[in-house]
Amino acid sequence: MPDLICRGLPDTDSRLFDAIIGIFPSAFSTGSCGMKILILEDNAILAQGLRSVIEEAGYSVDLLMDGSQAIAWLKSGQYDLLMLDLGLPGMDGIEILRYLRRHNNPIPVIIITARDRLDQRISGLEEGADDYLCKPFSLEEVVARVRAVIRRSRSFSDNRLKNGDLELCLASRTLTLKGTEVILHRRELAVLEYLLLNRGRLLSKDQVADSIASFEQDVSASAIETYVSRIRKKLGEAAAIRTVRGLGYLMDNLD
Amino acid sequence: MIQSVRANLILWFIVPLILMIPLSLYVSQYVLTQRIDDSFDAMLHLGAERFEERLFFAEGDVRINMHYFSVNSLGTGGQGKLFYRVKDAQGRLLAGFKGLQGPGIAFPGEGFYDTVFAGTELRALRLFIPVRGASAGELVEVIVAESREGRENLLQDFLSNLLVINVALGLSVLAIALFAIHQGLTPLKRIESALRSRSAHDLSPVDEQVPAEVSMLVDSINHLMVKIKQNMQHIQQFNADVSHQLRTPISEIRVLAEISEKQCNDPLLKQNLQSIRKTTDYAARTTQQLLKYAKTKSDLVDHAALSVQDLQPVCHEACARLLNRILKRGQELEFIADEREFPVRCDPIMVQWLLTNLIDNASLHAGGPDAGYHGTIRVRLNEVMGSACLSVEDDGVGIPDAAMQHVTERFYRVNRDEKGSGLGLSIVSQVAQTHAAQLQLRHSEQGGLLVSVLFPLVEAMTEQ
Repeated sequence: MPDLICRGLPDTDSRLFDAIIGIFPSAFSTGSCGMKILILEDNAILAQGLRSVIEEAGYSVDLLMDGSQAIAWLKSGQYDLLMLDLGLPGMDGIEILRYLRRHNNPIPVIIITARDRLDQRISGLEEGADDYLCKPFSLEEVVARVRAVIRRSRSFSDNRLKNGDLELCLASRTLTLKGTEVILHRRELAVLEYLLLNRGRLLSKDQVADSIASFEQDVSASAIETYVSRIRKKLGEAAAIRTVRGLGYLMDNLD
Repeated sequence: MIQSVRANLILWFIVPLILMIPLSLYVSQYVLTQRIDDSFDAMLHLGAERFEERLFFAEGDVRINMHYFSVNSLGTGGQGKLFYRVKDAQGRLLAGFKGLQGPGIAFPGEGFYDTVFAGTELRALRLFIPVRGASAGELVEVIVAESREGRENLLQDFLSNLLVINVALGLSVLAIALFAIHQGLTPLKRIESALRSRSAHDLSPVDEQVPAEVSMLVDSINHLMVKIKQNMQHIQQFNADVSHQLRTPISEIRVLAEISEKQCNDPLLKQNLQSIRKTTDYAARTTQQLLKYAKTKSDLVDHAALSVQDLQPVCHEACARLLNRILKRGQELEFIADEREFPVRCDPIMVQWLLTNLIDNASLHAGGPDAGYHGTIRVRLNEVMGSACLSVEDDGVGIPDAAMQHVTERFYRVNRDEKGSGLGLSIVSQVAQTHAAQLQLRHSEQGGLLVSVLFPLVEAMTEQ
């Protein structure tokens, strides 16, 4: 059992923990891709569920059930993502998030909450979270969200964005379709990069326009329509860009 | 029991008044009878004494000079009949009516008494008068009697005047009392109209200038308002807690089912685990819908918390949030809005619940009971006759006319086997009601369902 950490577990919970590991040994034997995720969740079943699917997806996971040690762990461990339950014993999830952001810690955070985001009105996203999961969540969705958040935060160090047959190398600003280079205008490339970065997510035209606008030049929403139609013309089906009338664009996640 | 304070007070005035007028008349009659009798008696006495001047002694006999003696000269006022009888000491009748009775043996001396003569009730006076010129001790018995008409007429006069005065006084007291009651009840009426004119959801304290006696009532009302508000907050908190407390175990079941399903190789078991997952999803959704239903219940909404918002971004966000779910089901979502602001007094979160419920409703039910829907769901936002019209339209199978009026009822399902929470359109209806919006359901041009919600537009976005 590699880097299995379950501090703060009461006896009954650790028995349950062992039982779950017994049931799903494969979840803990998957190789890691080098990314480390810290899960802060006090519910043993949920914690182990999250752990097993995230490890299965190729990430290594540390698990902590008490908020009071979270800061120390986050300082010592080099984590790529924090999954944070808001209702933690010890230190409240929102407090931890505020602490991190106050100390300019840029770690991507996915909030897990039993309260409806709409109920609570204090949106975790405003506190600096990158995404949120509302209980009850589907584990499939958890993996998708984790991947998306890590992709967004790591795109620059990774230097490559891939979706289906499409691959964009960020350093050289070259786009290849099935290995063949496709030439795009600078602006079109910026639009595509933004869509690739946020694939599976709805983006309004204004959002896309804002992302490629510079200090010197504003970009209008109608200009985005032109860029997208040119991208479609050049890439065909492989662009996988959906127009959602009245709402914006959505690039299908083909992986 | 009479419920009205006014009627009670009036009754408390009228009943004693009705009792006291006859009582006062009765007492007056008693006193007046005495007084009138006294004065008439005194006059009768004077009249009787005058006989002394007319009696003289001549030729050994008592004589009476009655030539000019008239009824009037006795001073009865001429209203009644006057009778007299004069007898000498030997009992011989000198003048007058023989049948006029004396006071009887029981009453031998001088004095007044009542008697009857010729069918008339009389007040009589007997005097023993010495005769001039006679030897000492010669007394003549003089009886003067007068009918009671004079006294009675006078008494009637007095009493009828008194009655008029009493009635007039009674009526004026009643009028004053009515005015006083009206004035006295004014603060209560003010509070009543203040309470009546406010909306059913306004639980702010009553702020009226009232007299000391009524201020206690106002304090009690305000205290009650505070209690109601606390109760409402308690219910809201309880609802949130229930949902919160249920979500965690439901999540646990879901996670366990999902992981077990992944690890499981037995197809039958896998199928069961899939069912567990679906059922937990259903339970989670129903819990959430119940919470929303409770929260949007018009009585529990703090209407003071509604603010003026542009519906456009609110609806845009709701559509964006649902998009992935809709696309996953193989459906399309369109948001078609006029390029302008739609300022509406609303709770944006409730409006989003309304819209997501409408979209979900179309997404889940437009395909009919047996098939999934594979078409477009169109959300429109435009102005219709001064209102912001938010509508959701699908090209699905629609719902039968008979079901149209029932779909907003709680737990009503068009198809009984469908696994909806049965609350979606009830929530929509409640949110519409809370926002004074009009909810309309009809068939779309393609035969699907078209639901429109007409929110009253407000002037501008100035009020934030």
